[in-house]
Parts: sequence; structure tokens; C-alpha cells
Amino acid sequence: MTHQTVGGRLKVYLGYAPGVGKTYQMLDDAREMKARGVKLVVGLAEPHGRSDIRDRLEGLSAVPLKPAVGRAGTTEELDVDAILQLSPEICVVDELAHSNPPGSPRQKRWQDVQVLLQAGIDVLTTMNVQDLASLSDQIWQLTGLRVRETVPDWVFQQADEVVIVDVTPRALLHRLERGVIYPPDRVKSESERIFQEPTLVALRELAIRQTAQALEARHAGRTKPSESRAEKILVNITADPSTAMLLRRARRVADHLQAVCIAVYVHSKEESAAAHAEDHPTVDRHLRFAENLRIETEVVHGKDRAQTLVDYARKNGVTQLFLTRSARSNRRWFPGLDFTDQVLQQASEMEVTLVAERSRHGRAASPYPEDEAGALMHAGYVKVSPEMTVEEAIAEIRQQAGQVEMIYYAYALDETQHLMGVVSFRELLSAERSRRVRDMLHSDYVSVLEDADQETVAQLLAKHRLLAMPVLDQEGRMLGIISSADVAGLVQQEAGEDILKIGGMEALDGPYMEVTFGQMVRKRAGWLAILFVGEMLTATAMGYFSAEIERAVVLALFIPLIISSGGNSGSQATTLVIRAMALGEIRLRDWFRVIQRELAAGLVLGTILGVIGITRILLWHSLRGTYGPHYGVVALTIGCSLVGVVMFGTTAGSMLPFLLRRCGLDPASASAPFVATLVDVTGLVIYFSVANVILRGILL
Amino acid sequence: MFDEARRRKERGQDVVVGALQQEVQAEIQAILGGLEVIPTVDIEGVPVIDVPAILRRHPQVCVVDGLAYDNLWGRSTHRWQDVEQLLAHGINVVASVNLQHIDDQREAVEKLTGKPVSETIPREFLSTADEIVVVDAPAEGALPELSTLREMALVLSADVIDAGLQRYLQAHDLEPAGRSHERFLVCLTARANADRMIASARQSASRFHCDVLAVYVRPSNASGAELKEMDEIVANVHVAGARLDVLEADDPVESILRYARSHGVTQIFVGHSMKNDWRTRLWGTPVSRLIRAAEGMDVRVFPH
Repeated sequence: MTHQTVGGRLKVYLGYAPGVGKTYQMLDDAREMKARGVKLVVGLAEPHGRSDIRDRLEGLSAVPLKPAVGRAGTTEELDVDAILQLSPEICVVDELAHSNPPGSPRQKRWQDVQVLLQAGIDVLTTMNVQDLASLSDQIWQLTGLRVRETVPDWVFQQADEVVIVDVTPRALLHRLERGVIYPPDRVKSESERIFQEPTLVALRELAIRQTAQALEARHAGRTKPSESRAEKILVNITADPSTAMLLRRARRVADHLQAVCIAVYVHSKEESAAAHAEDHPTVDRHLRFAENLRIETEVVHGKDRAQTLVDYARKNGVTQLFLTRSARSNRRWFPGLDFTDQVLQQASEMEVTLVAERSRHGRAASPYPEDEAGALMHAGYVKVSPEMTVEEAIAEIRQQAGQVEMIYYAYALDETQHLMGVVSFRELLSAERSRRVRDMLHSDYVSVLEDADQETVAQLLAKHRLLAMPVLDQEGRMLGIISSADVAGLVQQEAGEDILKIGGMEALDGPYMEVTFGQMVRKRAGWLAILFVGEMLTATAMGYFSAEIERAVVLALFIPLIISSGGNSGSQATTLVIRAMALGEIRLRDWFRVIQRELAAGLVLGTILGVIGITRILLWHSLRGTYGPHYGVVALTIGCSLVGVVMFGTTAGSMLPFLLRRCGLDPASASAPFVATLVDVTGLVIYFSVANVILRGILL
Repeated sequence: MFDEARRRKERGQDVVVGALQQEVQAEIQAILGGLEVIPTVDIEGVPVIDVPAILRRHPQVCVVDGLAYDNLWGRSTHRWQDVEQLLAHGINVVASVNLQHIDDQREAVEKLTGKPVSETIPREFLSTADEIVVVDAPAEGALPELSTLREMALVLSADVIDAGLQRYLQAHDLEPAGRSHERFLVCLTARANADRMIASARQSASRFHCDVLAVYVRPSNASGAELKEMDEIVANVHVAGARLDVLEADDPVESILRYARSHGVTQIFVGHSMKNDWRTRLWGTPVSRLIRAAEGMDVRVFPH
């Protein structure tokens, strides 16, 4: 890949784990260069408390580190300005993936390094293969670790030289045991994850392959600029969370094939404005992510998504299309033609690659599964130090404003990225300028873990009336924020889905007017057919009671009344319970309280309906005399049946969602029509049983 | 390597040197001072490892510099076979070898350097190594050929490491958590554009430095013409050098996936399904079924 050429040359010492000896070897080389008379300074090298590295530093001129802005001086960072003033030929900067603390001129150390390179200074630096941004899915799959501090691939590819610092995993484990890598007192949560032989072996293999690829890419770029058929890869950007993974994968493939990579979001004209507004922030984030990976992006407009995408690809000479598999397709009643199929049909002269999410031990895939909090999270938020004054904090906010997405609260982090507390902008702006942020912090903030499900997040935001909420990892380190705007769309979307399911349908995959007639019929026919077959049981039940009906035809007059009352009361109860569940008002263990309430409610509601029914029969009879001589007993039968049917309806209707949730199914699929069908059949049985008891010897 | 020998010695292991290069650098000479050397026997001007002497001495570790030597006359014809013998007697061997001496790399290296290489060791022998270390030094501003050699050495080491990882996982009955390298599977049918798929797979494979497998799914009701056409494709695949397995099944999707899973495939190459009738509209084509069911694997669909 050709990127802007910068003055200085970058040399990367690549390892596969902490402790392989990257810093050591880099300093060794630095000493050699220095001995050759090169003007070399050490910008930053972390001894990690190891004496052998301290020995290596001996005799090299180190640029003093700069205490981080507004801090008590606990962390020390690379002093880029001081290095620029010294203008050495070569500068040593350890740990390229490091993130600078809040308040630094640049967020990432690799950005500091860019500044040095642009000034014509050669840089020696270290990184691990797992720090490469495009590898994060693979690393997660291999190690279960989500790497927080990454280096964009183009920065790595910019390196003029890559040296692999290699040691066998066994030797490395030996070093770990001897306490060479980590001081014994350090918490080893990370080391436990990766310091296992097979994991280390796999990481080592990855590092070696990465180095080989870096070499190949470089001399391929040097010797044959575009001799082979130029590949052009097009990535389809959507609001789907798997897009990030897709982009990383495409970037990797493009780098290996030395292909051009572009990304497109198709904005469908017929899509409702609301649906677009809902997806908008996510799509924007994906577009920005693509640009971070140095993938050119474009938004195109068109009527049909698949058609527009393929047309664009054709016009731009694309050779390969990259899509994710549509996640929904597995859940549908009839496979039919989904977006993927449509693209495949239309792009019959192109290669189409369907990228699968990489799962880890069968667990849901890459960095953030669709319904976890992490998937909604923004990494851009305002960081301040608790040691800052209000004035400094406000200045800091002003500086960060361009880089962060939304600004409601400032988050105070300590050196280890742990969240100390939250302060709102409003509070900052109205406070005295000399006050310390520390004294204003709310430490009783509401937060969520990265793997919390999105429903929980939505509930918490609503409950506490927050505009945004921090997302923390298991160790309490801050990862990002979720704003209420992020979940607003989500809640609507989920509610919409639930409502459709309550109606005995599955969510249509798109806006009502855009879904084709055939698709709509397919989606609805399945449910209708099932319900229809269920309703056939009413005929069976009635057949069973045909003798009674023959003898007392008057009973037949009330069948629709009885069974629809049961169905209605059942649907009502189901809807109420599903909604309460969705809002988190009731949980599984509340089933007994619900059944008590619903029995009582059923009794009262049934009685009310019964009284209305009896009144109506008595009234009609006094006016017209329709119901024969035994009208009083018939009225009683109807009244009693209504009480029984409604009670059954409310209890059955309210318990079905519990039952489904207990079985691990989505209670929203306990569609009201399903309850109605159930209650219709049982209602008949109740009705005729009551009639048998009351009317035996009179009519029957 | 001698540095490692020294460290092992310092840690209390019983180390001897079984073979040295003819010209020993001063640096190595210094280390050798602290190590016991069992000299090679000179047979018709060729240094041969003194296997009987080493076996009698029976150290924990034996260092062999220059693994690829041929013995003109000796116990075995090649030095690596001597090493095999030492290993069989429970002696650990630390040995060094240059890239051009690996049999399947020789040709490529010769092409680059123009120097003929006569002595080689089989790749299979190298793959049985418990550990492999790349001695990597960046060729600063040097010839592109050197950089290519370096790349080849790295890829070779990665492959050996991978072979070791697979052995480890098998021995410990572990499932691999993820893939550290790619593996492609090309699915051929009578209608598929086999040439293009194989060519594309091989091109990608050479860039990713990975293997290509190929399967041909023979429908149980294949016609004579189809079979004949297939035979041609099979012959071409063999020419292209990919491994080809024939799957006989009623349900091609299921059997391809089973094969892919058991072979650790990361990407499946299939031909575009041309059919577009009411049945495919309702149920999807075999390709779309494959796409839906291929969990954790990419599917690349090729035009006809």
C-alpha cells in the first residue's frame, strides 16, 4: 500500500507477548547505532522494573519524560516537543500501542511517532502482533482478550523495517515463572489468558506470518507496482454491528492481495425517514471506522439496496464484493430470497465473499455481540483528570470537543483508566473556576458492564433519566459511553418487533410499503395456517358436544359469545404481561403473584361479563321471549361459564409468557392469537361442562 | 544456537557439541571454551558425526551445527539421519540449518541466488521439530533477494510452528480456539468454473501463504457426461498441485460443510448457482443454504 511518505524511517520490533525481549533487542541495536556515531536519543523506554533493560539504557541519552498535564506527576509521557528540539537522527520510543492519558496533545503514542517521523526523525519502536487493529477478531478468538490499545494497520505497514523478536513459548513461560516478565506483585489477569502454551504458539505463528507479510508487501510494492490483475474490493456497510468485523477482514484481505479497498453505504430512498434516523449514528460510526482503517467510503442512494450496490460495484470495476451473512435469515419461516441472495443473483459476474463472524468456543462472536452494551458503545467521550481544576477541565473539554462524539458528562479517570467519577458539564460550567474536579465528582454513578444486554442499558438510562452512561470492563476500566440517543432507536425497534409478534406475525424485514407482496404473504401465511389448524380443534370439541347442542339448540347461540370473551381476556392478559416483562417490571420468579392477581382479576372480570350477559338475556326474554321456558337457567349457565372462561383466559394468557421465557424462548412470540386459540377450545369445554351440570335434567 | 547451548549449560544441563562448521567465528570460539566437543570423524574429507561416541557419552543435549551435511560414508548417508538416531536414543538435539537446505525450498532459493544447492533435508523431518527458532536479522537496505529469503524463512517457520501446534492440540485432545492461519477449500461441481476458482484460490493462497484443498462432490445420480467432464477437471486440479478429495453424497451442502469443519477450513470457494426457478425462490439455492450453514467460515462465490 502506498501511503503518504514521511521523512523519518520507522523500524518496528514485533513480538507476540510481553517478555519476548522486544525492548531489550531494540536497545541493543540502539547501543550499536550509537557506537557507530549516530545521534540517537531514547524518547521513552519502559524498564518494567527489569534490571537488564536498565543496564541497556546505561550510556544512551534519554530525553526526560514529561509529566502528564494537570496531574500530580504520577504518569510520565513522551515529550515530543523536547525531542523535536534536540532533532536527533534516531529516536527510541517503546510500546507503540500505548494510549496517552487525558489531557495529552495526542491520544495515541503512534500519533506522537507520526509527528517525529514527519520531522524527519527515524524511530525505533516495539509492539505486539495482537496490537494490530485488523487482527482484533482473530486475537479475541484465540485468546478471549479484547485488545484495548491498538495500532492501525497502515501505521504498521508504514514501517520500513519489521524485526520479529522471537523466543520459543517454552522459554517465555520459563521467563514468566522466574518472574522476569512481571514483578511478582502485579495482578496477572492478562497473563493467565495468554500465557498458555497453545495460545502462545498460535500468537507466535501469527506474529511470524505478519512479519513475512510485511516483507512481502514491501518488496511487492517495490518491484511490481501493479503488474497483476488489479483487485478491487467493495465492502457493504450497514447498521449491523458485524460491519466492524467485516471491515477489518476486508482490510486484511486487501492488504494480502495488494488490492484497493472501498466501502459503500447504500441509502435506500424508500426507507422511511424514521428508520434511517435510527440507523444513522451507527452507520456514521461504521463509515468513520472504515476511514480509520484507510478504506475510502461513499454513501450512494438508490431504490433497491441490492441493485444499487451491484450497480455501483459494476461501474467502479469492483472484482470482489464483501458482505456479512444476514443474521436474520436463519430465523425465518421460509428461507426465500434475502439481501444476500439478491446480491448474488445480480452480481453474477463478480466474486462475492460472505464473511462469517468468528465465534469463540461456540460463544457469540467478535468484539461485541449484537445485543451487548459494547455494541452500542462510543469510544469518544470527554476524559478529565480528577486533579484538574474546573478551569483546566473546561479547557480540556474544549480541546477534546472536536474528537468526541457527544458531550454531556465529563468522566474522570485515573492513570489505569479506572473511572473515578462523573461530573456533568452543567455542574462544571456553573462551578467556581479554581475548584478541583475531584471535589465535584459523583462517585455513585450508574454504569454498565460491557457484556450487559442492551435492554438492561435502556432500562437503566430511562430509570435514572440519564443522557449517557459509562461502559466498564470487568476490572472497572472505562471503555466508552452509551447515550440515550443510541438506545432510543433500539427500544423502538424492539418494541416494534414485539408488537408484530403479539399480532401473530414476524417482523417484516423492512418498512411496510417496501416489503414485496410475496414476502408479506409468506410471512403472514405461516402464522395464519398454524392458528387455523389450532382453531380446527374447536370443531372437534363441538363435535364431542353435538348431542348436547342437538338437545338444547339455545346453547349454540351463545358459543361465539363465550369463546370470544375467553380469547379476548386471554389476549389482554398476555399483552399486559409481555409488556411488563419487557419493561422489567416483573420477572420469572413473580409468576405466583401474577397468577394470584390474574385469578382474582379473572373472577371479577368474569363476573362483570356474566352479569352483563345475564341482564341481556333476561331483558331480551322479557321483551321477546326468545329463549324458551328455561331462560333463567340458561342465563345462569351463561353467567357461570363466562366466569369460568374468563378466569381460565386470564390465567392461561398470563402464564404462557412465563412458560416460554422459562423454556428460553422469546415471550413475545406467545402471540395473542395463539392464546386466543387455546382459550377458544378450552372455553367450549368449560361452557358445555357447566351446561351439563346446571341443565342436566332440565334441558339435557 | 551456541548462546543457547551456553545458557543450557549454565542452567545445569549436560551439553556436548556434536558437530561444528569448518570455520568457527571468534565469538563462538569463546563460548566453545566452556563446552565439551565430541569432534566429528573425518571420512574421505567429509566431517561425519561420531554417533557411537555420542551415544556412549549420552548427554542430555547435543548441539549440531549444519544439519544438512551429507555423509559420504558413514552410519547413515545424511547427517539428519544421524540426528534421528540420536533422538531415538533420547538425546535432545539443537541443530541449525539454512533455508536453502530444506528440500521444498531449494528450487526457489536457487532461482533467487543462482547458486546450486546439493545437500538437503526433507521438510517432513523439519516439521517434526519440537521447537523452531528463526534467527532473524533485517537486511538493512540490502538486496530485495535477501528480503525474499527472509520472508521464506519466516513462512517456513510459521508452518513448522503450526504443525507443532496441531500435534500439541491433538495430543491434549483440545479444540483449536481459533485459526492462526488460513485454509481454503475449493468446491468443484460439473458446472463450476474450475480453472478460475483454482487459479484464484492458488493466488490468494500464495499471498496468505496457506494451503488449498479441493473437493469434488459427485451427485449420486451423475450422468456419464458429467462424470467425464469431472474427470478432466480432476486431472487439471492435479496438474495445479492441489489436494483433491471426492465426496459422494446426496446432500452436497451437508457433506461439504462436514469436510470443511473437519479440515479446519476458513474459507469456502463455490461456484455461483445459476438456477433461478420457483423452487430456488422459495427455498434458496444450494449456495445460499451453504452460506447460511457455514458458521465461522467465509464463503466466496464465483461467477461461471
